[in-house]
Amino acid sequence: MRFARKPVVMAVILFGLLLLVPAFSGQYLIHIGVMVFLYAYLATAWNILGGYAGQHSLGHGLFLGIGAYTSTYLFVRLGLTPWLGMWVGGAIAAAAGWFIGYLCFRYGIKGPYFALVTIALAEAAVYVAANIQAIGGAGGLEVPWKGNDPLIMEFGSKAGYYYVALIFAFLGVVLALWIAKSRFGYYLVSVRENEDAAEALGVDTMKAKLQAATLSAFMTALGGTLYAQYFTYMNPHSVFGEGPSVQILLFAIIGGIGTVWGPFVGAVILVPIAELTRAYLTGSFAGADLLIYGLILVLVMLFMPRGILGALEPIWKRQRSEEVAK
Amino acid sequence: MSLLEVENLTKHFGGLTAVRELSFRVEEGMIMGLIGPNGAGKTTTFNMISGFILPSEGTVRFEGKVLNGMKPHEICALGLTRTFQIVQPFPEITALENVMIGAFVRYSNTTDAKRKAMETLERVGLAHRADSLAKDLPLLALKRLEIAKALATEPKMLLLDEVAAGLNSVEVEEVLDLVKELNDDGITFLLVEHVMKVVMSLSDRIVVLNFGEKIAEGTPQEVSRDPQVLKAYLGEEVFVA
Repeated sequence: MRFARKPVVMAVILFGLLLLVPAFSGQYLIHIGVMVFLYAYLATAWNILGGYAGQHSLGHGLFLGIGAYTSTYLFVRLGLTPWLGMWVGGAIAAAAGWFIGYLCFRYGIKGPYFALVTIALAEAAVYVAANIQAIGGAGGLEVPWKGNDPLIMEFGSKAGYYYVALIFAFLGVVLALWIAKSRFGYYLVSVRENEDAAEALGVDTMKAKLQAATLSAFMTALGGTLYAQYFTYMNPHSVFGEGPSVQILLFAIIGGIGTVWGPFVGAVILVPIAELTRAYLTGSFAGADLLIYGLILVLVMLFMPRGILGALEPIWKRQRSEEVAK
Repeated sequence: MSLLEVENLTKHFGGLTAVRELSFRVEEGMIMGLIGPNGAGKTTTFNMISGFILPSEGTVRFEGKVLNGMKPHEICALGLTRTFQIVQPFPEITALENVMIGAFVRYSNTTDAKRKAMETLERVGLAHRADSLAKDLPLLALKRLEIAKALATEPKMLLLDEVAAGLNSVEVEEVLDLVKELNDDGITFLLVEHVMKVVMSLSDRIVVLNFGEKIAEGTPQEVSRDPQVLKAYLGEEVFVA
């Protein structure tokens, strides 16, 4: 039990230190921090289904969009604070995740076929959203600015968003730590590694996959609300489109798929690179950030197919067993 | 009441009948052998009993409960666990974690599952490889791991699909000794085997399949003198038990 708590202590210390950053840094660095934590959180959510359960969704933008649109719509129309609206979005996304999972897994759709189905559904959502005038159609939806009011998740300074995003990322990592050590997590891994063998050993593989899809979709939608509040604007392409869908999983894949810290590490490494190239090269070289993502992805896949942490894992495991041996 | 009762079990694949009206019973505590030449329907029978494929007709009962239509994981939870002819490890996790997956069906807490898994690895003589990734283990170790995974589910009965396949004669002996020990501990076995020597030395009773039908059942001595069985195996030099 003591051993299981140690990584949690590590997480608390790390995130505790990160809380201090805004006191010492400028707006731009704080902005990068928000982006890192938001994407770390989203990639952690993706990793539950994609990394642990091995069901690679390429359409998580669908859940991001459901979260962003739902809380914003409720805020605009009913004045409901996004702090509450995000749970509604989460619930709708969870239902969608369960339903998509049920349809796919019930009919044995997995691997690349599952990925294709998720892409198709997210793409379909782009066009559905673009044709619903109540949510702004193709023009999108704006989050009205009501002044610095933490009760409606609106902050006068970037530091406010920084703290919220930090808490999201922290809770995501804590949940991932719990999953990695729990029966649920082991069951997800067994499904990924060998579904028939898992069934034979008493694992309800259908249930495990559905739980992963539901939880992953739910968490992604909560992140969608934060996304909406921070950028204050969304349109069908910016949330449902393939852009966010692909970015989310890139962080997980490059950082280390199926590891607790992989998505976080991926976001910490990639987001600043993207933000900086976007800031310095956009005028002369639009899309340079995407080019660099692609390059890094190719290199990582070539030399570290299990991601950065996946490549480091055997090394620290060996060290640990040597320590134990001593 | 027998522990396992198979009644009129039939499986059609399109126009092909893989298993036809197969019936047999396995009493508690015994080792039952299921043999037959290639394509006799052994693995199909196995897949029907363990819930991986639905029978076209007939029933399977375990402790009096009808298993037809149950999912494999439900059957495992009842105490009937299978292994696979081709070993099916979870390659990217350790041997200990592999066995924990099985243990979780009885112990939902990770600490308890880990303890059970370690005990089980010791039981099959694989404790020294607990921290090795399954993909790094040699075949004999993987066979032991396959048994350990199934054993960790605390089965009343184990279905072993060709445990001896791919092993040399010394290794086969080792695995057979393990099966004998586990049987002494009270676990009932159904062994599907192609290697005749394995079943002959170990089984209390044997069912012989050929082209999906039962052609003989009895003690190893009875079966090995049965003219139909000899005919089915004619040309194969396996009948030297």
